[in-house]
Parts: sequence; C-alpha cells; structure tokens
Amino acid sequence: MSWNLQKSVERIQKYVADLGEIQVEKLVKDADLSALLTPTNCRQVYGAHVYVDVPNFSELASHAEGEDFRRVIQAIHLYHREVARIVENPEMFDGVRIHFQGPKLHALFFRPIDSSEDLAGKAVLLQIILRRFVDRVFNPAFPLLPGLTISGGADLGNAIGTKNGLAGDRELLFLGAPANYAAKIIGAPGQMRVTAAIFSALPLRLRKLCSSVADGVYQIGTTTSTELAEICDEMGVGWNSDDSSERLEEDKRLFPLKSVEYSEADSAIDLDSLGVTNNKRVCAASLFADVSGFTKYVDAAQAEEDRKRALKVFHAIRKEMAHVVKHDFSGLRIQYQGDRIQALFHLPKNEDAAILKKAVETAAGLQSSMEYALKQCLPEAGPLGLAIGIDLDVTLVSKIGTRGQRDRICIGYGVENAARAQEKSAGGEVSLTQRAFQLLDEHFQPQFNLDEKRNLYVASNFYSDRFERAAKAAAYGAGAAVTVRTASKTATVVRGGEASGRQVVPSKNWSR
Amino acid sequence: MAARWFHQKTGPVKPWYERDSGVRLAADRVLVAGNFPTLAFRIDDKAQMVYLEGPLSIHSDCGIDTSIETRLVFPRTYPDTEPIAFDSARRFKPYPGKDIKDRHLSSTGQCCLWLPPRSPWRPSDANALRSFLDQVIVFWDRQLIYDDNGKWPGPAYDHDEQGYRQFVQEELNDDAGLTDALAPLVLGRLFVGRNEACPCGSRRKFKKCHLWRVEEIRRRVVRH
Repeated sequence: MSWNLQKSVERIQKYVADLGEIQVEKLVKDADLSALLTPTNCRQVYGAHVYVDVPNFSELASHAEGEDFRRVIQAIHLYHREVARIVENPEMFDGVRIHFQGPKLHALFFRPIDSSEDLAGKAVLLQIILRRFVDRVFNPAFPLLPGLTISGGADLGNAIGTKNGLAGDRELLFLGAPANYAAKIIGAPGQMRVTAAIFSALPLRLRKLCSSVADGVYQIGTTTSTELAEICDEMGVGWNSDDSSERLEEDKRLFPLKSVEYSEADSAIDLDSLGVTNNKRVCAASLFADVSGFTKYVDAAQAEEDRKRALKVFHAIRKEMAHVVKHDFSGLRIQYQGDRIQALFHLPKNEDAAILKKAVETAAGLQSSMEYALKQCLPEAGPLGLAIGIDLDVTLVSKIGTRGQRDRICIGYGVENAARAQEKSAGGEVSLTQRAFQLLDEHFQPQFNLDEKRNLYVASNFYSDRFERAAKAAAYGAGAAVTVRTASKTATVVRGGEASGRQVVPSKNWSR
Repeated sequence: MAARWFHQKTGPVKPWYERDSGVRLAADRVLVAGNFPTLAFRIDDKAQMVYLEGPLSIHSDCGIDTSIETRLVFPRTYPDTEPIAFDSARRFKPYPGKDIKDRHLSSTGQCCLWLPPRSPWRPSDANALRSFLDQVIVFWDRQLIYDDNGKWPGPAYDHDEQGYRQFVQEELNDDAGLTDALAPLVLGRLFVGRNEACPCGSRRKFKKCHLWRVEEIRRRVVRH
C-alpha cells in the first residue's frame, strides 16, 4: 500500500466531476443544520463559535491503568454527555454541538439569527457555566480523579457551514476565521477567553466581567452563584448545578464503572463498534494535517463564485486526505476538524518504530497529493499547503454521543502533542516531536532538521519520492549494486539486482 | 614508417565520428535510441565536437518523476577516452552551508563520477556508452538523495589530491604506514633513486623493494 500520483489525480478528477453544483447562501432563518447542510448545499452562518477544553483528560488517559483507566473512560463519556445536553437542550443554550475533538468541545450558537448580543452572551455564559459545572458538579462526582480544570475561547462572525457526507454519523464542518480563531485564543488551564468581536457585542453586564489580556483578547472573570443565576435568568438559559448533578448521577447509574471495558487492538480498530462499554487503549501515532492558509483563502472569497470555488477545493482536499489515510496507508481517519484531518495509526501492535514509519509515510503521501495531484487538478489551490504534525503515545480511542451524532475521539499526550506540532508548522512542513523523531528509522532521520525554537524535527518538501529515496539511501550507503531500467521517457533505479534491468555497482565518487 | 609519414603529411586526422565510415557513432546512436530515447546527438563540425543532450527523467514508484537536463561531451580522443557528463541546466546547487564539490559536481556542472584511475570505461566494449549513461543515471539518483539531506549516499573519495592518496592506500591493501612512505612517490611529490634505500624502511634498495609497485600504481594515476 502506498501513494501513487496517477491514481491520486484520477481520484481527484472523479471527485470534482461528481461533486455537482455547490450553493453557498446566507442562512437567514432557523434551521436544523445537520439536516440542511450537505457537501454542496452550504450556508454562510453568522454565529459564535466556542471551544472548551479539558487538558487534564489527556494526561489521565496517557498515565492511568487498570481500574483508574476505566474510571477515566467513564468520566470522559459522562462529561461529554452532560456537556452535550447543556449545549443542545433548547431550554438551556439551544446551540449546536459541532463535535468533540477528543476532550475539546466545539459548539456554535446561531440562534436567534444575526443577533450579535444574544450569540456573544451565550458564548460567554457557556464558558462560565461549564467552569462552574466542572468545579461544583463534575469534580465532586469523581473524587478519585484529580480535579479537572477547563479552558476556553470564543469568537463571533461569519463562517461557511458544510458537511462531509450524507449518510452515517454527521460531521458538520465550519470554515472561516471565527471557527478557527476561537480555538487559537484558548489560554492556560482555568482561563476562559473571547475575542474583541465577542466582547464588543456583549451586553454591558457580561462585558464588565471581561478584562483585556492581549491585543484583541479578553479574559472572562469569576462570578458568584447569585450573579450567575441572575445572568441565566436574564438570558433565558435554564441551567442550574442541582439539575446537572442529578443528570450526572443518573448517567453513573446507567453506565456504572463495572460496565466500562477497554482492551488493546490486535487488528484495525472498528470505530463504529466503540462506545462507553467498548474502548481501546493502544500505543498509536497521531497525525494532524491542516490546510495552511485556508481560513484566509475562504475569508478572502467574498464573491459567491469565489466561495464556491473555495468549497470545491476544500472538499477535494478533504476527500483526498481521507483516502490517502484510509486506503493508501491503512490508517484510521478519526475526524475532520474544519480544514484539518486527524488520523491514527496503531498497527502493527506495540511496534512503535513501524507505526511511526507508517505515519511518516502517510505524511509524505498527503504532501504529495497536495503539491502534485491537487494543484494539477485544481490550480486555484496553488497558495495552499499542508502543515502536518506527528507524535506517538498511549491513546484512548472511543466514540461518544448517540446514533447519528457520534464523535470518534482519541485522547492522550500523543494526540495533544501531534496537534500542537501541527499548529506550530507552516504549510509544506512535516513536524515530529522529539519522541517521534527518536523512534524513526535512522535512514529517515536525516530528512528532519531540529528546529530548536519550536522544539520539533521538521522536514520541508517531504514527498513520497523522497520517502522512497530515503529507503534507497541505505542501499547506496552499503555500497550494494542497484538496477537501472530505462523506458521511453524515464529511467528507474531500484535497490538490488533485478532480472528486468541492468545491474550497476555505484561508483565511488570523487571531486577535483 | 613511410606510410605513416605520408599519412601525416597529406591531410588532417579525421575526427573520431568520421573514422571507419563513422561506425562508432552509428553504433552509439543505435544504443542511445534503444535505451535513452530522450537524448539526442549534436555534432559541431567546425569544432569537431560531439554532444549528447536531453533530459533524463528519474522515475519513482509513486509516480513523481524528476527531469534532469543532461549533456555528454565527447572528447576528440573518444572512444579511447570516456565522455564527460554535465548537469547542463545546473539543476543541482550547493547544499546550504556546503560546497558544490561535496556533491561531486564542479562549478561548471561537470560530474565527477569517479576517481579517474577507477574509471570503468572500456573503449572496446560496444556497450560502453550505455554503461556510462547508466552510471550517470545512478549519479543523478544519488544527487536527488543528497538534495534531501545533504549527505552523499554511498562511498566517495576525499576531494582533490587526498582522494588520490586514498586510492594509493587502497592499492597498498589499506596499509597506512606504507601509504605515508610511498604516496609522495606515486603522486610525484618525492623522487628516490633506484639504488637508494626504499622509503618503506625495509633497508633494501628501492629497486629491489617497492619500485615496481610504485611504478605500477603511478602509471595508472598518470594515465588519467
């Protein structure tokens, strides 16, 4: 299994031809976005995007074992269930749970349509309530776990909403600055932040809670229980900690610790079979590939035709990236996160170096698809590049939510570090953490250079032909014979002796 | 002797590609057309020079091909002397922080395929040009690997005279002490009389010790 240019070009051409006419209209009335949006029926949605993260979960998933690990799994599932209710329940926030990116929630508020004050208010209030929920309800309910802390970020504005497919579990995708920037301003644990766009749209009472911490970034301060109750009343958000506590206790009864199971994986994980009672704990390489510059590309597309073109490029990239991960390299596509894809490699079991090599080879395939195939088929993708980050560690793999609205989740240090490595990378770069680099075969290590500032090992122009050549370098290093085959237009040099070519002993070179 | 004198006095020597009715060039043309169809011969009659030019495209299994503009210059002494290969479009630049020599190219784009005494060129071999071009292809393949990480893949001699010194050491079965003693003689940096003591320290006369070996190695160096 490997990437091939010709096959990649054919796939992209077929996908673009089959995609059909894309429509991008402004969302002007309330709608069920998961039913409305399709890959071609897209909407420009004005709303507040909120991200809320629980960084502790990664640490717990990487280090806990035995019953402690089962307790962590139970906590993760129950946290997600209650948070999803808070976001989506019409009597509470009446928002959209876009998805959970592992422990990180991505929510959208777009109702009432175009009402900046209400939307910004909900973005701030959700963060306050989730902080209160974790402190007062969740942590006391799990006394054997270290206290969780959360951090968040929110932004307001227009983003283009679309979806990855028509069948199976939905994956809503939002493209544009607010969907991106909200995640970027997340601060240290305990810090809840908003952008200037949110701050300036807030009602006075909520605005007073915020203080400036950086250029265009504001931090949400603390509130008393009385203040919070008053704000909830004013905004019509029907949340209180007692109800949350009751629901959490009911969930604990429904999914007691003894019902939570986890195991290793000898063969490819069937993601659809996962849930609270069936989880996987694997040593796996996480890979994140982000289309660098795509947010600017989408935001710059003001005319309708430009937006359509941008979406066509997006869907072609998304589809091709998934194919490369799943079919060219037998990886697991975990999630689309806007213009980013998350993938996981866990086979062969417990063979860290082989797993990592597979992830690195996939990265080369993804970069090749982007630079050679996509830009050949869609020249308008010219300014875009893929930024890729890779790490390897113990990872919890599971699925949360109810049928039709389920999110595949991977939690662990490896996932966090790979995401961070990708975020620090520029378009065209593949970055490895120090641990990943050390696991890499010595023939591939010289492809990566240490960037001390970023504390990453980085390769540029890392394509599939280069991956092949790195393997061939070993043969040259050993002074072994190679085989040369010539055809009408090309010449091929392969390792070892082959009957169908001419054997050549590479010369010992010299320079004058 | 008379015939030779007559020949030299009556007309210029024909360029190699016209000798014997141009049989060698014709054979090489067939060889190139059958194996490297992207290359074409060009003859400069005025300068009596022959060139073989065109792209050599290095193919990878994944389908990404890299085209390298290649030029072979055939010396007037061809086929006794091998062609000289060039990176004619100067595709390959010095790796950052390194010298162009480190990738075995000269500043003119000339390829240093091997140390001259180690040349595999066999003038009488009908397939000599094909073997030479195969080595050029392998050389380009190694250049692409070097592009990726700045490390020359596979064995190489040191630059300049130091490379010849390593060659001498190889010929002397990797005996470093003997190389220290004899390399200056092979490379013409020192002269020792036949009846003087051999520099190897054996206390025997040079003519009865390493003279023959030194002359044998020196002949191979001087020939190139």
